[in-house]
Parts: sequence; C-alpha cells; structure tokens
Amino acid sequence: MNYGLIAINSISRLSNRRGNLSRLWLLASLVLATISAPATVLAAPTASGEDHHHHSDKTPPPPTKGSLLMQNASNVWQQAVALEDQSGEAIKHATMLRKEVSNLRSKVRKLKASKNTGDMEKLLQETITQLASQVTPWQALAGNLRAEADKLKGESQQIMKQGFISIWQPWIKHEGKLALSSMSGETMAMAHNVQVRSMSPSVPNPTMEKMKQDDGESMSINRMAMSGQSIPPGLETSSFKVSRNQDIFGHIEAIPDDNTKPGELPLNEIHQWYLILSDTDGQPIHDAKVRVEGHMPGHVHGLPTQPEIVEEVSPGVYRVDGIKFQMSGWWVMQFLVNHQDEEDSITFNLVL
Amino acid sequence: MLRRAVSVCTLILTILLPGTYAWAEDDLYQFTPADIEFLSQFNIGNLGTPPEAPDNQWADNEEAAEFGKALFFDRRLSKNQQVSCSHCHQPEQYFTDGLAHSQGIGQTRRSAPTILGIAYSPWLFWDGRKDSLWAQALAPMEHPDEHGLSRAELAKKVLEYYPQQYSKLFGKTESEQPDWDDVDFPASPNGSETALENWEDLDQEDQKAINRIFTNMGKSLMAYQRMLTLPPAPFDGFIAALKDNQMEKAKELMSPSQIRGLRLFMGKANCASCHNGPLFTNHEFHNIGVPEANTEHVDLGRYEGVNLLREDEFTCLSPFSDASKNECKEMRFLKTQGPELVGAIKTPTLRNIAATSPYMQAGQFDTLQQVLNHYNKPSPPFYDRKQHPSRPHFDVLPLNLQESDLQDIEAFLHSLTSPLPKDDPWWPVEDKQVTQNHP
Repeated sequence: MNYGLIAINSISRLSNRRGNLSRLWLLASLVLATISAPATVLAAPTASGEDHHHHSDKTPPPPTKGSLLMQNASNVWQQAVALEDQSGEAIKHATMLRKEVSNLRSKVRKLKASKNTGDMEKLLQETITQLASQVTPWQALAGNLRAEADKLKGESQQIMKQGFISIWQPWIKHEGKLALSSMSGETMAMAHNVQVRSMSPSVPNPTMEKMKQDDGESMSINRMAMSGQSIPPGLETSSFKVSRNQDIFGHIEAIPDDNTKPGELPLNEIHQWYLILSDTDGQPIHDAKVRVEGHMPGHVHGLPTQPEIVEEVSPGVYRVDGIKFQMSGWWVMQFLVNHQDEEDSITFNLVL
Repeated sequence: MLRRAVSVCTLILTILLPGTYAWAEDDLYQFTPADIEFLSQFNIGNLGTPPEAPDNQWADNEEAAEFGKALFFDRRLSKNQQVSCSHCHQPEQYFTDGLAHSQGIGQTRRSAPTILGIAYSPWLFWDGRKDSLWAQALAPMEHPDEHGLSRAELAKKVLEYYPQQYSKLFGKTESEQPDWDDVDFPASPNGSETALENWEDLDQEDQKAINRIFTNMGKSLMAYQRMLTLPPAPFDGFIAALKDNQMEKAKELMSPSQIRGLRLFMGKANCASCHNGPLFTNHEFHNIGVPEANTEHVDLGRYEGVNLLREDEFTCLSPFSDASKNECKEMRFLKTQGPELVGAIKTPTLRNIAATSPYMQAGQFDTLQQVLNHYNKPSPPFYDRKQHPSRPHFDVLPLNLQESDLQDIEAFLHSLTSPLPKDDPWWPVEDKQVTQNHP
C-alpha cells in the first residue's frame, strides 16, 4: 500500500476543505451578524401599515397591518429555517471531519504494524491533529446557528401573535400558553403511571424516578409526579404555531365558560376551542377539512374523547368541540389540515 | 461503643436505603397542612351530589326513587320469580354478591360490581357499554342469563304490579300501552329468536309504547341508585380528625400499618394515579394485565364497549333520552379508536373493597393479597392475534415493593370500609322483608 499517496490525498482533501471551511465560516458569521437585527428591521413596515390604511383611495388597497405582520413573521421564520439548514450542514461537516480523523488513525495503526514508518507517520499525525482540532469549532458553530434559529422562531411567533391579534381581534382573548383552570384543583390533577412498551427502554421511568424526590412543597406524603413525564426542557408551548410544511400559521384559543377564564382549560370536562388558521400572508384558511388528534407523549395514550371541528364560525376560525383532558402533564394537540387538496399539520404542546 | 456502632450503622442504612426508611410512629402520624388538603380530596364528605343527568328528568325525583327501589328489590320481575336486582347487588354485601360470576337465571360473564357511588360514573358496566344508569339498569332485566324476561313482559308486569305508582309518575297509562291481547310473549329485540320474531311482529307504535314503559323503569332505578350514600369509613374519620387536629382520635381510627399503607398508596405504589377522588376511581378504562378469564373468548373491554355503545338504542342521543343533543357530548365525541381501548376495564371504586371480594371483572383474584401481588409484579395482558384487533395496551409497571409494604397497603384498604348503615331507608340492611316479594 502506498502510504505516501494516502497522506498526500488527505492533505489535498484537507486543503480543499479548508477553502470550503473558510467560505462557510465567512457565511456563518455574516448570517450571525445580520440576524440580530431582523425583528426590528422587519417590523418597520408594520408601523406604517396602519397609516396607509386611512388614506388609500387608490388601487390596489394596501395590505392590512395584520397581513404585513404575518408576512414579516413568515420572513423571520424562513430565516430561522435557513439557519437550521446551515446548522445541519455544519454538523454534517463536523461528522465528516471526525470520520476522516478516525480513518487516518486506523491507517496510522496499520502503518505502525508494518514497521515501515518514518516521515509518513509524522505527516499523517500532523494531519490528524489539524483535522481533529476543527471538529469542536464546527460543532459549536452548529450549536450557535441552531440557537439563533430558535431565537428567530420565537421572534417570528411573537410577530405572528401580533398579526393574529390584529386580524382576529374579536376571537382572541388570551395570548399566553394554556393552563388548567384553578377550579380543576391542581392537587387532584393526577398523572397516572401509564408508560409502557412503546416508549424507548433507554428512557427512564419518569413517574417512578420523580417519586423518590418529589414530595411536593411542604408535604410529607410522597405523591407521584404530577408532570414528570420527561417533558423536554424548554418545550415550546406557545398557542401560536407554524405548520409542518410552514405554509400555515395557527392559533388555539380555549373558549371560556362559566367556570373558566380565557386561557384556562377545565380538567375532566368536555370543552371547546377556537382554532384560527391563516396562510403566511395573513389570509384566513377558509373551508379546510381539519382532523383533531391529541396524545400524551409520556403515556402512550390519547385523549379520552374524539374532538371534532363543528363549524367554521368566521373565515379561518374553526370551533373545536369535544376536547377533554383527563389528567395533568404534557399533551400534544395536532390538527391535520386539508386545504385545497394540500395536507399539512399544526402541532401545539400543552403542559397542564 | 457497640451502641454507637449500631446507631452509625442505622444511620448509614437509612442513608443507603431511603426506600426502606422506617417511620417512627410520631413522624408517621405527622401530616402537614398541604398533606391534609391533599388527602381531603379523598374524603367521602367531599363527594358532592351526583352529576346532573339531563337525559333523565326523574333522576332526582324522590317518588321515582321510591318506585325504583321497589323495582330493585322485586323478584317477580324475573323469569323464575327469584331474581331481583338485589339478588346480585345485595345490600348486606355492599351491593355485591361475593361471586366471580353472578348467578341469575344463568351465569354472567363478568362479576357484579357494587352500585355504591355508581351514580358518579359517566360510563356503566365494566366495559362502559352504557352511557347512563337508566340504560344500564335495563340490560340485566332482559338478559337471558340474568332476569331472563322479555321487554314486553317486563313492561306488562310493571303496569300490572305498580299501576298507581307508575301512572302517578309517568301519566296515564291506558292510552300509552299496547293492547296486550295483541302481543305474543316473549317479545324483545334482545334475547331468543322467538322473542325477536314476536318483537318484529309488533307495530312501531306498540314497540315505542313498550320501550317507553321499559325506559321509565330504568329511569326510576337510576333515581333510586342516586339516593345511595356511603357512611364515612375510618379513613374519612381519620382525615376529619387530622383536620381538627385531634391526633388521639386519628390514631384510634387508623393503625400505623394503615398509615404506612396510606403513604404508599398515595406515593410509591402509585395506586392513587387511577384510584383517586372520594370514590377512589377516575372512572376511566385501563388494561392492567389481569389474567384472562376465558382465553377462548377474550374480554375486549372498552374496545367492545365502545362498539356496543355506537349501536345502543338507549343512549343519551336516543329518542328515549330527555337530553338535547348538545347535552350528550360524551356520546357525540365518543372515542372509538385507539390501542388503549383494547382489553381496558373500568377502574372500580375502592370504597368497601376489603368487604367485596372477589376482585377484577371476572373475579380473577380471591384476595386483596393476590391483587397487590399482581400489581407488584404484573404479567402482560394475554394476546391472541385471532381475537384481539391489536396487541392490548398494558397500563401498569412493576412496583417492586417489599412484602411488608404490600401488607401495609392491604391494611390501608381496610380503612375504606364504611359501616353498614343501621337506618338508611335507601340501603336496607336488616329488613329482610324488603327482599321478599314486594306488595
């Protein structure tokens, strides 16, 4: 085997990659530099949106404040997605470097075994060191890009929320996340230990684990963990979300009754929601067929009822009836939207 | 020196084995205000009145309840004049019969659960195949293995035995009943082939009239069962004593073993995850992997219950219900699919559980010890590809408790037994007369 050739190949690949690397580095820093501003930059047109509204006798009518906000939210979201893609590329790159390092290491071992070492081994070792030293920075870059993407998504949701409020003001009574009504009696809202085979064996049993420690505040009784269902830290629980295909913006709104305030959900009682759907330009998604699904990721079971859309009360505003939560914890509510023969879905996390 | 070594050893053991930490008796009875508030939610005193029943306008009518009570204890409403509702739901046994399979005209597939607290359950029967107590009450009446009468016979007998009570409650009966001379008995949409043929021979008006009388029977039986209340058990007295800071009284009501059991029940043993609230049930359906009673005819539980509900003629949505469609949301948004339905059985109340053996839907366990051993090391549900639509869900995890822990939990369960009432007219215990033929 010609080890000289291997070393030369590695070095030439390395130098090629170096070129790529520096280009990507440059791109990444550029992106990072520009994304810190977008929310303010993009929000700018919205301020004037309202002004245009009043003295716009000429055609075409200017876009409303709400739809401008939605477009901005969409733009910010797209940027976040672009960053995520770049983060993915950076991760791929880091992985490639790691593979190359281990590849070269195994070659060095073989070289040692053949006792025909000399300069070649040294050259390979240098290459390995150089390549290995770049793995961590690339991983860090990927992490930073992802963090920035998440931040942008949060900003997009904020702008989207303003857009929704502007367009569907009469329907939106609550902007925050949904929570159980205090009438439900939090202490009674128990989790149960349904958590079985379809969960990965590597996931520890959260209920049992929590019980060792989770006494509740000033309680001597060990109570089972109410919400210890491996809820991922920083779980996104906004009631304003972007659909899977990123074509739809959606908002969920619990319809209050005699016993609940806006944003409150009753426990163990059938109740109603509004689901508001908009395209990314702020136009209502009208006449969509929507299926409702809900489940508890930590429990391998679904809702105790089968909720349905019962009417579209206003363009884009759907009344959902039959929703019932029988326990506290992490719930995932998914709406499968079929609009003009396009299938999409929008998912909301609730921690009750 | 030795003493010191022992105490050091104890300390180390206490640190190393928090699970086996032995409570000093004084600590054991120490409950914080938050504990007491939490436990109060299990107190029978906090049960409240039964949920509203828009599908039964007589649900809270005391005269209907009186009439329902008469029906409940009336043996004449059976094929052999021996089977009343109270035949399997015996007041002396907390409205159970102590059998794995109840004995009516024949033998039932599942056991007879207690009816105490049943008015609070949205779903009836072990598999929840009925959505109201009035619809439930009718099924055993015309089941060949239980009361064994046909629907037409039951309607006729009720008018014959209780003409005044019936007409007072439900109005004139003459115009609303079929001409019985035209009816061939037995006649029922359920039951034998003859019964079905005779039923189909009736015109729609007659069928409707019979159904009206029949469902009014059910609504009265429901009104009766809504009157049943549970006297406080030692556990309830204990919580009340804790609340009033009467420690001595509390200690008299529950032993240290029962308190250890209580703490395990609420915590490490996870029992309260499903057995919660004043009735110690969440009224839901779960598969806990109890041994299959009959592997040739597996119990599909809620899966089957839901399918039966969809075809049921007496649901909240039916013409015989007094509710508007909007008031029947449990039925309108009935969950009909999901692997968690397969083999899932309704969580029973644990009130009086120590006095109501055997256990599980078909009496698979004779003792509480067997039940607790099952929970400690549960076996996965029986699965037969030919019979099950999908692999049954399995809702429990091994507890891996020690033998002494299980004994403590069992001791705690005994604290949930209410004393039999002495002078409750709705729950007649000593008056054996009432179980005879009702006048």
